[in-house]
Amino acid sequence: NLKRNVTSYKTIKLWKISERDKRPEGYNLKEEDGRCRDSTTITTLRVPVFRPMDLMVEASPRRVFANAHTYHINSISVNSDNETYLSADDLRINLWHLEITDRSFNIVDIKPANMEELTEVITAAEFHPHQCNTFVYSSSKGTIRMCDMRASALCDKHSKLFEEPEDPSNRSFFSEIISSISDVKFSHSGRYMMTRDYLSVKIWDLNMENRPVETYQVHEYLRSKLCSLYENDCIFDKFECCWNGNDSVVMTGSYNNFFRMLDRTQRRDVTLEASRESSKPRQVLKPRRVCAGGKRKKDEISVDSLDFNKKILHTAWHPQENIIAVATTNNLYIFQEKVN
Amino acid sequence: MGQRDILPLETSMKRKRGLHTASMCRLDLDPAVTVLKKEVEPGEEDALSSSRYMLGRGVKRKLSDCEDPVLGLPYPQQRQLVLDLCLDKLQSCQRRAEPSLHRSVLLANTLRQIQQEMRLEGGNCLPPAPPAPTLLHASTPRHIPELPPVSLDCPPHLSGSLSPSNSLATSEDGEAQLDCAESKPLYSSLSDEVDERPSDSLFGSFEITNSTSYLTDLALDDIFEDIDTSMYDSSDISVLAYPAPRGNGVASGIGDEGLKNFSSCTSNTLQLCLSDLSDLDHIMEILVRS
Repeated sequence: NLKRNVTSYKTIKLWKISERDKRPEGYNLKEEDGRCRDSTTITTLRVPVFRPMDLMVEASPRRVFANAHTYHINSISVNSDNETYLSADDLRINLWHLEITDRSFNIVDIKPANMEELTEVITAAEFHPHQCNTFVYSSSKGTIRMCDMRASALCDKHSKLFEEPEDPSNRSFFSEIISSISDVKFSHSGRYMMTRDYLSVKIWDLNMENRPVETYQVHEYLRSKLCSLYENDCIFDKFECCWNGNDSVVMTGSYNNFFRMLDRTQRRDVTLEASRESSKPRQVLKPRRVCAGGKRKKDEISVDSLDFNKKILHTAWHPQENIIAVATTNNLYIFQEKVN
Repeated sequence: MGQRDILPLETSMKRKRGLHTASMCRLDLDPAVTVLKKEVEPGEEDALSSSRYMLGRGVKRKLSDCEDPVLGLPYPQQRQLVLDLCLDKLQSCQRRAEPSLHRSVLLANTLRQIQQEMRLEGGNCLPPAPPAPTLLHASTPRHIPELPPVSLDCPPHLSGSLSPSNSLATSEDGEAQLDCAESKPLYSSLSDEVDERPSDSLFGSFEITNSTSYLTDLALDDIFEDIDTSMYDSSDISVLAYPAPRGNGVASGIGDEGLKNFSSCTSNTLQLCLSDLSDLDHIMEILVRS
């Protein structure tokens, strides 16, 4: 039985997800279809037994945590203590106890006294996988702040600030927009964290604040198209990212139903597509290539042919197995590694 | 990565939803939609005339296949394009039912950055004269700001020509050129002409409201000002408003500073209590009577 926290703008719900593949049959007082049996016709008693049935997955809300946010919630993260969790909106982060739905602690508040002075919002937040007092939150200016809840009740002062100086050669009107971090995820080991901004994925060592230790370009061919992407609002798309079980590979989505896997240890990367045409059962996914310029090779797709309506924003990797889930606009794809 | 083969899981889940038949979202801009309608001064070629992004007569630049067409424009025109887009987006952002604070902040920052750049460039050429009245009337309806003044650091020599509050009013049509020969300021100060908005109206409208949290937006003091509440124990009354002290880390219950923490009232009870204005009247009656 799983429990899942889900948020939709300002209310958080805790759901219990359960699977059922058996059901009881052979009641004495009612028929299989639910009608009552006439008790006068019953001459023998029987013991109901469980019989297999088609697998059914049920989700039922167990807790509703409402009314603690006045801005759109962007993250929820369950603590390693399995008792508390945090929820973050544009300006505040609240700490909850899973059993207490009517109350939360405010632990971060960046709302300025004068809203006109607002220049930065919170974009994502997550608890450290092992240290229950530590969490990080990212901002629209490309910074990540790490906070220790033991330091003070209101964590307005960070214990660490992660920020990479801007590359002056890449400066454009859109530099700030594309530096906005859309997702932050700790590695399973707890030694690193990964951030996703519009064009890249960065791996940070928690002990080094002034720059990431690794940077991967997700779709660098879009850098020269930023104005068009700004015009059609795609530049505001928020992509997530995830680690595999042993932190050797990271994955994130892109456009045209492409998603990228970046192997940190082998220094290799691959672009794959999640679509019906390319996902026949048992068919190994074929790597895709985008032609950034010059002559387009066979099997390559040119940047201008990409469908920017088909975006993969959400991806997940099973914590132990090599099974991934990739969400397109209307479908959820689940892929596994081929075992020979 | 080359050694891993990935294939679909045996069973896949599909959410049954109508497939969007939205038109394909591509990078190419629809030529039929001119995003920017610019009035240009007579004699001046419209940089965004029918052939998109072509410069004036006869001046064509061959672009490589994958470059944004806009990169063919000279820098000031690129900047103007981005500026105009920014304003369009900010205005449409405000009009949405659920505006995105994140997006608005990014747009406002971009706008501010461009404006500062333009000010610094144009500032050297501007005489410290107040804006001509004709400028104020020259703006198209689209440019009349719905946005409140944004305070920017104003270079001292511009303070004579721009209002101290440096409104977000855009450049006038036809004022886009950054020639130093321009004698009029780039941004006329319209703050005298438009209503002074409440200071947080640009970003202040983002707080999510619904029937259960509308109280955070009402001026609660006004509603209760004729009621003497000093004799009531605050912990028994869950609907009274207290300004919660900032930063004390204590359970702050409802999101904004408006409502006090209530340990006795679950969120469901609050919803029941506050679902209607008529309920509020009812509550007031109870308080007055008791």
